[in-house]
Amino acid sequence: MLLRYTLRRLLITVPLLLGISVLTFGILHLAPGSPVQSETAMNPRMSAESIRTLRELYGMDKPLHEQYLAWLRRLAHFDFGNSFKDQRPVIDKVMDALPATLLLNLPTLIFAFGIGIPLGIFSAARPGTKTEKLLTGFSFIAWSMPAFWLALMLQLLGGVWLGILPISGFSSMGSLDLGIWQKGLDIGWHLVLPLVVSSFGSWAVVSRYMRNSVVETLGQDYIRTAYAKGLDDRQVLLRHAMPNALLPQITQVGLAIGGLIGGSVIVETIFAWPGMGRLAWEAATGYDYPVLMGVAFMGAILTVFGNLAADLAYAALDPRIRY
Amino acid sequence: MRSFRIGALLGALALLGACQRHKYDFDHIVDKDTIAEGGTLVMAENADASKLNPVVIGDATSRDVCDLIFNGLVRPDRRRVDYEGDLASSWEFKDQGKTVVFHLRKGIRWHDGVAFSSKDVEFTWRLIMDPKTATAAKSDFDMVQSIDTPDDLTVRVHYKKPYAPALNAWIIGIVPKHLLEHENDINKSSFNRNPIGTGPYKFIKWQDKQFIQLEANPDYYEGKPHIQRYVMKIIPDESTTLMELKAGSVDLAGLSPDQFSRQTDGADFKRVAAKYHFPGMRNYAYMGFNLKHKPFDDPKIRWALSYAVDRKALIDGVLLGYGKPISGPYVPVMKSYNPEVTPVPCDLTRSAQLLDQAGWKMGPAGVRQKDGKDLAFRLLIPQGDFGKRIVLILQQQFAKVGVKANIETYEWSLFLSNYVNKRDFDALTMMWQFDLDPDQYAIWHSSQTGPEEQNFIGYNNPEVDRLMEQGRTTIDPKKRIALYRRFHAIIAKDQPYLFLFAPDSLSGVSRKFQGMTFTDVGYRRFWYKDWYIPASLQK
Repeated sequence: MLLRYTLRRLLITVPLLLGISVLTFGILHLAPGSPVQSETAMNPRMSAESIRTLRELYGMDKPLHEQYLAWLRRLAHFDFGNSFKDQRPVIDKVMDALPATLLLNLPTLIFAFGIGIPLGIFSAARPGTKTEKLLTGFSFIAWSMPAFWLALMLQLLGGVWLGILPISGFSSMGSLDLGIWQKGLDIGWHLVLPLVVSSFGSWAVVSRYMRNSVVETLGQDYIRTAYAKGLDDRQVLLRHAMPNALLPQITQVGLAIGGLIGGSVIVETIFAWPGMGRLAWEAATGYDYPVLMGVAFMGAILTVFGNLAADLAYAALDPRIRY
Repeated sequence: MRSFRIGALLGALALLGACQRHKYDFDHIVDKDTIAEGGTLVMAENADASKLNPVVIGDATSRDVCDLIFNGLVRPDRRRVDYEGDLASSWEFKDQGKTVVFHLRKGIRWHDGVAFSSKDVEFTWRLIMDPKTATAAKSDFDMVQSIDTPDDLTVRVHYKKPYAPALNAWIIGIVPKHLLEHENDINKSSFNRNPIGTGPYKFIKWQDKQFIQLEANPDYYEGKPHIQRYVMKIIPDESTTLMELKAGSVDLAGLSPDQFSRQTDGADFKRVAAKYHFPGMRNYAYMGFNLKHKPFDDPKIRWALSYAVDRKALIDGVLLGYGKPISGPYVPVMKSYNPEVTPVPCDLTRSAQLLDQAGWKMGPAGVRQKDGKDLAFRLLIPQGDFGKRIVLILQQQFAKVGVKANIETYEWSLFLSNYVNKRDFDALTMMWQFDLDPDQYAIWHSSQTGPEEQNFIGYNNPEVDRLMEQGRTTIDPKKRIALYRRFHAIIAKDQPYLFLFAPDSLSGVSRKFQGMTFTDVGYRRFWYKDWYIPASLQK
């Protein structure tokens, strides 16, 4: 049964991804402006001939549907095309940016769930206490703290006043000559501030979801049954309430997987972090269609499969769910 | 116990920080006057480069890096007002300006050791003219009929007719024939990411979105630069850049007026860096009238608006005072700027008089009217804080004389395609950016008013047309300057634009550099020839 379900879901994925790609492509090309215009406008030295050459180079002299089909044909060979900006293959650019983003997003994700879930359980188990109120208040503050402000303060403190942390960038200037361990240490050192900023507050949402879901579970009949059996608070909470309350979190994790490769533009820009957020942002503002299509499409694939994985995990973990 | 440990940790951090902070004492550099080789200059740029090839179209960052890797035949001099020889040691105009003969320097080698020759120059020209090459330089060479190379060190360029801006085109970096002649698509060539040039620095490494690293060329024809490494670090955010400068991890960066006036006076900045303020060379801001629209076809109305503008208040408001008012289409440090023409003063009485004379009488709502119509117009700007601040101040200043400006803001490409190119505006505010040559044919000549052309305001003055044409064919530099100064005076009289201001150039530089040479327009030109880092300060 599960196998058939998985196959069916995988088959649906194909038209879904096609639809996403048509939409993305359409929206991009319907937006005013073009890469040619952004490179040539208001330049008194640009001749009409050069503009034509550029249009041909970018394949923009062809009708829209042909451009899309050409893109699709290349995609069938796992070729995302070349960036308009520097003519490098899109896949190379993504592979350059992906490690930096994963390095930042994976720990952030782990922090978000690793801190958020215990905090949520704690708040649910001790409703109305001072600690719970304090935690709730703090999680609201953390969630609403603007990332750019926090980043600037930390850069000022750690980088300028104390002078111990790198302010921005992925590695030190001289790090090309370092050994592999020193290189790793150097990158880790550069990771400190961006990681603090991007995970600050990320747990807040998770802890709120978790708290609600535990509170809801605690009102169920089987919890009363558990108490009636004579179990204490701790056993009821950990053995009976928690596993059930955790189920909805699977959806959250599934969605977060799609977000893993989409870096945060703000954090990456402030810290000059060479990740996917900046890649996509710069491609969007520079009309670099191939890069933008590539990033959007890879994001779509991950989101679709993240959701699929979440649904399958549900089936495996919750005996009530059958496909 | 616990609080003690945290206290100890903070103490250790502070101590570490203190050590770091006082690593260098810039006030007492013992070996200040001893020229030393080595060290690194880290320059901050806000965007990554695209192609490190001077021939194919690239962005501003690419051009900055290419300037260090490649040489042109000529280059702007230290003050950026005249040309001097670069790969060419001298040149002469022949046949009444129809031919330019360049004499190349002896013994110049490409970074890979191959000898540079006149064949490379001819090849670069052919590459630019190749229809398959995507380049912005083609129009610079439109006038070239042919090029021949009688020997390895002589290049003869034949023009279709005498062409005075000829030298300007040859600032472009020359690329190596031996590496590129068999390239079938220069736009996608791997050379663009691994450039080989003749310049003071050699390309070493380019890490996407992080940095570009160059190293001093030991065989550079003007001598090896003292500073061994040049790193261009890409930092998109300007606050981050300033903090890197304060922390000493960036050595050279541009500053915004706000940073210059408010965030760089503290000890944390002065400890490591110095800030400099020089007149801008590159651009000016203006408000252009659509001369085909009423009432701006009437010079009186244009003058009335010009008198209504308080340029000093505008510069204070937009640039915190770091800019110069201008009187015409050049920036004041350029030779072609006519010093006898003064910027239009703010004179509200004169402005009101002119409007009254034209029949626009003050209406009940504080807006002037004529035949029951308000004196209101659509003032368009492309999206962005800078332009927005300019037009908001202009709007207030116009309101004082009873003129209503309705501001419309559009995204850049929409602004161009739907409004500028369709001439759908009464007035617009933008900036012009230019290079050394005073030629502005494309902006003011009456033949340049087609849909995507630059004379979008529809300016048409036969005398200016003639001056623009003469300017292109007059070879004698003195006569040529006189023509452009005359053009400046005529434009100032016509007021087809309100010429507003030229922003100053503001920057911060690490105090570790010695040997800096200053002119009235800056200090960065040819830094690689003079600057050095005392040995005690090299990391």
